[in-house]
Amino acid sequence: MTDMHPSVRRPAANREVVVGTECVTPVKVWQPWIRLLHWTLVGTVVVLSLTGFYIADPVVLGGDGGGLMATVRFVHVLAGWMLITVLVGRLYLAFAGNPWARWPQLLPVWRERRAQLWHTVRYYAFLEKHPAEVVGHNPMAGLAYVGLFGMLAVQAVTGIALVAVTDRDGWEWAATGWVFQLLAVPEVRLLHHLVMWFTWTFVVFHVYAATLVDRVERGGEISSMVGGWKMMPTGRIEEELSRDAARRRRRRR
Amino acid sequence: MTGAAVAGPTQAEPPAAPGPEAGPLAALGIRRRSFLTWTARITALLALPATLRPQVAQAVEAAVASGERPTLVWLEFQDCTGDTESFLRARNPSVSQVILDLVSVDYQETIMAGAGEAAEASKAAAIARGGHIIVVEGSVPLGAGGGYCVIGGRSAEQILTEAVKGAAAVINVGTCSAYGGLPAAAPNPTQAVAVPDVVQGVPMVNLPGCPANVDNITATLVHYLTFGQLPPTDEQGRPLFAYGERIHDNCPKRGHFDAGQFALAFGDEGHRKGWCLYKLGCKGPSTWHNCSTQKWNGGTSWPIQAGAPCVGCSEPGFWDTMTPMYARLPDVTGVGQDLSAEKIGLGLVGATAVGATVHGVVKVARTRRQLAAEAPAVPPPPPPLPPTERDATDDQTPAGAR
Ligand code: HEM
Ligand code: HEM
Ligand code: SF4
Repeated sequence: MTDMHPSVRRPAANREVVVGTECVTPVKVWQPWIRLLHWTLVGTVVVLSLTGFYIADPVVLGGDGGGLMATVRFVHVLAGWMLITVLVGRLYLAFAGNPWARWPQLLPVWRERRAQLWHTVRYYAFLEKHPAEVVGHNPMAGLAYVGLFGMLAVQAVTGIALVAVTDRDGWEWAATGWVFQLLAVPEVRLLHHLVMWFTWTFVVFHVYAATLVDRVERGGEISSMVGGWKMMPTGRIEEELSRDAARRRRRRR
Repeated sequence: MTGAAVAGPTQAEPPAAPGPEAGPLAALGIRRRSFLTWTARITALLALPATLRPQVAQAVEAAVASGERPTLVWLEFQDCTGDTESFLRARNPSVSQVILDLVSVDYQETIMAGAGEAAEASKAAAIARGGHIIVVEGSVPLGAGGGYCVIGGRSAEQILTEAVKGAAAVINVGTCSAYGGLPAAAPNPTQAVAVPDVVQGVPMVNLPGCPANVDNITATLVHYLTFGQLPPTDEQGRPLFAYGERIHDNCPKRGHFDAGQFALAFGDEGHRKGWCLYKLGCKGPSTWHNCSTQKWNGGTSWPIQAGAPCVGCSEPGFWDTMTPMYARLPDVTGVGQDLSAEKIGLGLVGATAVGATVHGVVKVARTRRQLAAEAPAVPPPPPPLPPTERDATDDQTPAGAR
């Protein structure tokens, strides 16, 4: 193991383990920033959906109402800005993060990743016994995250546009007023509302897939999103790291 | 509207202001005090600073004195005459007279005395003189060679194109002439279009609404008389003084909205208490118009005050984009039937959840079977394995082959 990437802790005597015929090494797949962004994202999406749902269909409490709508809208827009911050942060890590955060993990641009994508499709169709062996995301998950980030970007644009209608002299209108050239205001609301449901469709599948690979395939994914570490075959880690290093060398040249 | 313009002159007309009861206005039987009150109100409505009020008053007086009244030709196409009705309900009858005397209404099918060829002749004369103001009410049908709206043997499109030649300005009153309105709603059987779709290159302003508010029509004319041009507009061609802010931004029920107090059904307790009509489908948050400040019928009332949710009548395409009128969101159409966002969303999430569950059950069953098949290769340990899938996996699947 020469030229070790810092993500991989040099196996101490009791760290590298032999399972069957293979050596496995702990590897820090998810750097702290990725984990922080992930769980912040989960929090903001939950808050945005709950507050958004109230905005769409408010329940009426008794008494003087307690300023509920004004508060909920404020919280929604605040959480919206947090979501946008997360998206920007993730975009940055797609270029500056560790090898498993960078964009080739999200878009299957390499032949090997495309083969693994096909393998994953076959796995979900019960045609392969086990998922493709990858250290980071499998390529299908990567594509799903691209789709998710796309939907969240739609939420960000339509959300800012719905803020903009309150004041057509603000910068929000200058930035997103064009949305209303394409859609009327109620249609923008409808789109924003529908994409919330599309997001939850993703989440249901996402949590199922994470549970499946964690509980049935014993990949330790869920704890990896908490602690960052995965146990992976040593050879596999080195292969992925050398591929990443080669890509960066090519780019530098 | 700036606070100063609203609060200033309307209430605090200095007692010294009324001048001698003489001059061209007196000749029209208009008392100076009511004229000044009227100019103050118009200045405020136009969102002009109160300091411009004298200029407005002077311009109107000068126009009256000069006797050179701009000609107004009012064209009606596919309409309901609602805007004409609105026009006849000017806020202050004695002063509305000013406007009617300021502009010479040479052609107005509904109210003019002349008919038939005499009427057509006076219209032709007005157009020939040029410099006239065209007011259009109603949309222009292009279908059937224009046959859906023919007046005096000529189609709406022909009449309109001829009338705008040499015109100084075009004022589209009502949503139909501004955006197509009801006749242009899907499926638009007459192929109705808005005036700007037929005519370009003339100064034009849209005063949409079902109908347009006479206060806004009057103010637009006064702006034109005072400054010689139409008022500044938004992207939809609507003057900012009247359409700069949303109904919702100035709605008297807005406090109930922010508080979270909503009427849930027509006639329920919240509705009777005057709570916000959001849940009854109010489109005030999507609609730019000054109904909430200007009100209707001389400031008597307006839809939301009367408990009817705003239907968004001054927005382009409102028949198609703001319906159902009493529901907050439009449905998704064009998929065989109209589906609500909730139906689509719950359907998708539900289908994914069911699919995932089925997939999971199959996967676990297969994994168990697979492990059972592989089991004989390993000599069974003395106490038989507990039959849970978890322990079996731990013992027998190489961790690497995930
Ligand atoms: C609103 C809910 C959620 C959203 C929007 C979401 C989104 C995401 C995204 C975007 C990633 C990619 C991480 C990256 O590369 O930046 C990811 C990965 C992951 N998430 Fe979530 N997540 C959600 C909920 C959850 C929950 C509840 C769990 C735990 C059960 C979970 C477990 C994971 C795991 C294990 C990964 C890594 C999986 C892989 O290797 O592809 N997520 N999630
Ligand atoms: C995951 C992301 C988001 C979800 C799930 C979400 C969900 C929702 C939902 C369901 C509504 C009610 C829509 C309706 O029925 O009218 C709503 C409204 C709204 N959202 Fe979001 N939203 C998200 C992101 C954002 C962002 C990023 C912003 C802006 C920074 C934003 C701003 C707004 C505003 C201003 C409204 C009020 C619209 C109105 O006035 O009717 N949202 N949101
Ligand atoms: S009644 Fe309509 S316009 Fe008025 S506050 Fe409620 S939603 Fe807004």
